[in-house]
Amino acid sequence: MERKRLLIVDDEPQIREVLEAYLAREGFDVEAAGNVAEARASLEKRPPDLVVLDVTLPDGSGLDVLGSLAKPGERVPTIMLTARSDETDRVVGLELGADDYVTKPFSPREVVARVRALFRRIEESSKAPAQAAKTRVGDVEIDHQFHEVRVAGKPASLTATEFRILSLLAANPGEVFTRSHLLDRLNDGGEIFERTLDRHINNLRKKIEKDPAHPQYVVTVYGVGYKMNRP
Amino acid sequence: MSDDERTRTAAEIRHEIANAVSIVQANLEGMLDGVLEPTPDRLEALHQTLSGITVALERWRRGPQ
Repeated sequence: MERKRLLIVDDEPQIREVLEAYLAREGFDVEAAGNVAEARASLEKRPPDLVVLDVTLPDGSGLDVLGSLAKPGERVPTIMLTARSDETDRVVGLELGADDYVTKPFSPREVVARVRALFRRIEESSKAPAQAAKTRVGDVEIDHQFHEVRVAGKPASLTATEFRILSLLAANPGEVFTRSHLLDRLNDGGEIFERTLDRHINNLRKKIEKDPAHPQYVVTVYGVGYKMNRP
Repeated sequence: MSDDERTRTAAEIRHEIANAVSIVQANLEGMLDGVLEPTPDRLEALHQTLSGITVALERWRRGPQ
C-alpha cells in the first residue's frame, strides 16, 4: 500500500520535530512547514493526504492555508491545533471548517490517534457505499467515487467528515440516527468528535440547505437525533 | 490599561503558556515513548522552555502594570 503523505504546519520547531518523529514511526511520509508561505509552497508542489495545521502562524492564520485549499472536490482533510478555546468555534464553525481539532497543550499520542481515526473515516466513506456510485436525495447528489456533492447541480465543498455524515444519512433516508448511533457508525466514539458532531451537522446544513435555519434534508428529530428527509 | 487591553494581555500570556506546555509535554512524551532521543541539546531546550513558562507565570501573577 502506498504510504500516506502528511504535512505538519507549526511555527514551533520543537513541536514539528516531535510530531514528525511520531508520525514517521506510524509509517507516514511527513513534510513540515513553519509558516503560511512554506505551507502554501508545499501544498502547491504536491498536495498531501492530510494536513495537521496550527491556527496561529507568524505570517498569518492557519485558516488562510485552509482557505487556499478550499477548491471544490480538492479538499485536503485537516486537523487543526488550537491554543485558545475561543479559536475552536472559528475553526470548526467556519465554512472552511477543519475535520477535527486538538487543543494545546496536547499529547502527541492523541494527535496520532486523531490522524489515524480521520484516515479510517475517509477510507470507510469511500468504500462503504460500493453498491452505488451515486446516491441522490431530492436535489442532493452524492458521488461516492469522486467524493463530490452537488446540490441542484452546483458543487458543494464538504469536509471529509461532513461527507461521511451525509453519506450515512442519505444511504438510509427517513431512518432516524441517534447521536450515539451516528458516532458509532462514524467509527469514532471519541469525546471530542461527540462535542463537535452538532457543529459538523450545522456546517453541513449551511452547504446543502436552502435555508439552514429550516433544514429540508438533514432534519433534527428532537430528543432522538438526526435523519435525512426526502423533500 | 483598558479592559480590552487587559483581556488581550491575559489571552496572550495564556497562549504563550499553552504553547510552552505543549512543547514540554510533547517532547517528554516523545522521549518516554522512545520516539525522541533525550540528547543534552533537547534537554537544554526544554529547560529553557520551562524557564519561559516561569517568566510568563510571573507576568500573570503581577497582572497589568
